[in-house]
Amino acid sequence: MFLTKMALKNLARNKKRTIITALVISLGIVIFLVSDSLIVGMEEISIDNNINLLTSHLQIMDKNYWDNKEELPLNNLLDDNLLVVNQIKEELDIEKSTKRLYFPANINNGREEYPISVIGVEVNTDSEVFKLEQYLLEGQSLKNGNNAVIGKKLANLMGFELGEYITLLFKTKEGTFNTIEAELVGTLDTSHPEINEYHVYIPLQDAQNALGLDGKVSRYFFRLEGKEESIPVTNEINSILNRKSSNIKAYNWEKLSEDILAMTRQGNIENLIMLIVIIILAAVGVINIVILSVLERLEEIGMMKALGLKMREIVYIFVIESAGIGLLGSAVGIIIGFIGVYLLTNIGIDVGSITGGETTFGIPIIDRLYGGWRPNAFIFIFFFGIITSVLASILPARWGAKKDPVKAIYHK
Amino acid sequence: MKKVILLLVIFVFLFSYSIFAVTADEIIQKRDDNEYLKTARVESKMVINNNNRKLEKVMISLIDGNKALVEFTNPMDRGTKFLKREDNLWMFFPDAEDVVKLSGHMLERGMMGSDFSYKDMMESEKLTELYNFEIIEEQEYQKRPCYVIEGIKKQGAEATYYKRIVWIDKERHIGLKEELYAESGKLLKEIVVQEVQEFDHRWYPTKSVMEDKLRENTSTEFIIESIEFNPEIPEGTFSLQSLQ
Amino acid sequence: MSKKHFRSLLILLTLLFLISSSVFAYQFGGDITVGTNTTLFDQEVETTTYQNINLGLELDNANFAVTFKNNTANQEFDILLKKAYIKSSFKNLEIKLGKQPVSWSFGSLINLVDFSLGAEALGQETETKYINAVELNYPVNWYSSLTFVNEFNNNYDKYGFRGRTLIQNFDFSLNYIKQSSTSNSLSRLGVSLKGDIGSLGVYSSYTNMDYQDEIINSDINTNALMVGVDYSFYINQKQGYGNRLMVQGEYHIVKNNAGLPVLLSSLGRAELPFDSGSNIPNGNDYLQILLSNLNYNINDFSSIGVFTLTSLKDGSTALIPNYSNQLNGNTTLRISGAFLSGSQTDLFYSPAKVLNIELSYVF
Repeated sequence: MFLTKMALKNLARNKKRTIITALVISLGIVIFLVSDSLIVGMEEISIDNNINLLTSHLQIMDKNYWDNKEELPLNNLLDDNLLVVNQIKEELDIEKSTKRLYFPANINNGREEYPISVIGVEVNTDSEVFKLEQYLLEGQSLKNGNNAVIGKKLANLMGFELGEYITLLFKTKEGTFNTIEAELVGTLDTSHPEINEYHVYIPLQDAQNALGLDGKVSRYFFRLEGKEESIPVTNEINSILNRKSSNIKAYNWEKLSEDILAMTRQGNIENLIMLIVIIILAAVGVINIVILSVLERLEEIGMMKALGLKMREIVYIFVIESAGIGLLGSAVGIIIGFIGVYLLTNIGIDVGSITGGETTFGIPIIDRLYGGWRPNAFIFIFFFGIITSVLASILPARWGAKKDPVKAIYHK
Repeated sequence: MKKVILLLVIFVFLFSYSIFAVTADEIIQKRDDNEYLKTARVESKMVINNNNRKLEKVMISLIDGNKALVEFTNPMDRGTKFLKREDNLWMFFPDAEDVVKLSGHMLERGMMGSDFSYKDMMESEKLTELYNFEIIEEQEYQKRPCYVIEGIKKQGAEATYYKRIVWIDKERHIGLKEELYAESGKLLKEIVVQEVQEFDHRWYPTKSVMEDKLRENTSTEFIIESIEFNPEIPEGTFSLQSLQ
Repeated sequence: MSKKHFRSLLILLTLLFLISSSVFAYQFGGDITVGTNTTLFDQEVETTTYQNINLGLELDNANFAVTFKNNTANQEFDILLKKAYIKSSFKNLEIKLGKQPVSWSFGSLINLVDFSLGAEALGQETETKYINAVELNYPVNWYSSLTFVNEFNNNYDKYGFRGRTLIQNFDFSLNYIKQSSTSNSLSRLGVSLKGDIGSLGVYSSYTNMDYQDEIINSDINTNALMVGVDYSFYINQKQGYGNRLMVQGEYHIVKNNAGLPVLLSSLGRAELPFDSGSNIPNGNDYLQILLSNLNYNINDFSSIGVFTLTSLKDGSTALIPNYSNQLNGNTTLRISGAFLSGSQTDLFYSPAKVLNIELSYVF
């Protein structure tokens, strides 16, 4: 107990140095917390984005369609007035749903062809589920009739202007060539590169007619109150579908955006790098302070040794001192970090101005990036800061404690 | 480069089914008799134009039913030979002087880049099964009296084009022009016979050009420099030995 | 041109003159290639330029090809006689006599059952293919043949048999090659198979090798197995009118003792800068090598591709990217490189990086 008291007293002996070291640790912790918050925020945004632009909260489709969905096949489609869908909506009280028909095609400008995905959307219900309209850059959103909306990047690539007619060349299910010519009424600039470069939206009716697939759609899409609901609702829908022993299955957004989730896992690697940086910052600070203290207190160490203190006890003093610094730094870091994360989640940062509106990191994000909360990160980093300080102090403390008491006293 | 050659070879093999075997049902027999090459020796040239670039291949083909032997004579591919027997394709490269069997996937699809598609040729075999043909007009085309025949895809038939219109010479039984349409009615491809010639009292298209109407400045020409019907083909011609 | 070549050429010309005073059909052609070869070695860049002229003359029953090579770096001017042989048929038996290419390849990237190891590797032929030999070929039917080759070489005796046929649409061959000199001999007995399973191209070979060395009095008998697949994908388009991507992969397993040198020679050093001599592990370990070839046709005129070789034991990898573009009907631009990743103790190791650019014109 005496040793602990002494260690804590030592903390106050060189206040300035203690505070600076503690602050270095705090800084590391703040950086960690803020970047963690940003990663959480980015994850949420990219998931939200994905939900709003591509996947919706949940979809239902034929099991066999699911297996080949990347190829946008024209078999294993669903009827566009499935009774079970109405039943699902009634039973589970879901209001917002829509349906789409996907097929591959080449877009043609008379000189070149470029492979794209065409999406036939139900004009009056699509906006209930998807938020494409928010990203309309020019013109207007899709209406019924012979018109199309495409990504701005695709429009630039093919040299299409609003009001011009685009030509889509594709094969029907029977392998027969068909074309659609549609007036370009709007261009999209979303935060999703795939949409900007590869998607062409046309009215569902036109797609069905041109493919000879009247009354058929690829998938149904549902918007729920929040994305947390998607798992229980998906399970409920699947139990309804199983009751009918049909070939149709529901898939929630998590299953549908596996690639995006994989991308955010990279974020975790970034976090790991941050952790390593903190370890280095804290360790260097702590090692530095312990070495300085040891040098300063060589006589003291010699005296303590002469008084019969064991090496272990001397190390203990320094370690406790460092633990104190770690505690102080961590506490301050947590407080500042808390404020930072609070600001991030509520005010956010303007990414648009940094990245010039272009999407970065391969993850679709929007102009303003908001942070997210992860309470575990706070708890974890608090202890992490202290433990790092303690571990970093052991070696230099041992180095000091090993000094010969006689030489230590007469080192001058 | 090997692949382009391969595509052209596929073309030649399919050539034996004739390019324009399209007639209304009552004309088709005569037309097929005329243009279908059961046994022949053909010297031909294929020119692919893509914007300002040009690819030219010259070849000599021996055809006998579903067997064919092709040798390229243009400098780039001189000496390259192909043998096809049913679904087996063998290739000989002159530098290497070895014979290699090609994998089946090399035969699938094919003909990219050139405006002729594999499917275009494969289809001609069974056109009357795929399309309902009808004479829509009698017209003079290229100063020749012609039937204008329209074929509409039969319900459920797996045909590449929804509609084809073909101008067939009434007397010479050859298709002088053919238009291929998408279901929407858009013209996708046009084949025009630019020259015809008489071989052994048999008229045959010797120069035809296919244009992809959706892409400017691309066309594929197929030119027959000489043709010999029912030539003497020595026994053992369609063998691996003759590839070497 | 060596004396030996010159002698054989003279004999052949005389023979030709005697046999065929009635030569009507002939084909003459060739190509001119100019290129630069840049090697980066220890931060040092060495660039050499070269000009090659290939001339070929094909007559009804004779075939000639000569390569003139000029290399500015070493001021050497080489004349290489590639082909000078006559063909003759007696009933069904076909005889080829003289300097001729002999290759028993069946479509693999490297071939352990070839007559000359390394005659063709990674889709390219090498000079080892051209040998002074007599070849007897007896076709049994349109798809089957029996071949005997005897090579004339001052340093060793070498002969080989090959039987080739079609079994269930699989190209099947049985090969036996024996090469012996006064001190050692290597014989190889192998089978090869190539065909399709569905739309997947598959091929395989199995080789038994027997190496005898009388000086060190050793007799090593070992086996090698290879399996390979090839397949085409269409990318850029989901319904099949996109650009073709060809993928080929090959797996070899051999024993280090005698199999490895055979495997390495059959690689033919395919423009690889590697010096494997010091890196060959000894003993009875199995060595596994993975080869791949990716080729993407950008359009009718150009393609881009990469060969890789990986030793599964040490992970060392050789990367050989290539690009070719047919500028017009007769001129082709080719760019290729070679990069090896291994460290000094690995199989595929070389500190040099190579970049090769060449332009060739055919006529």
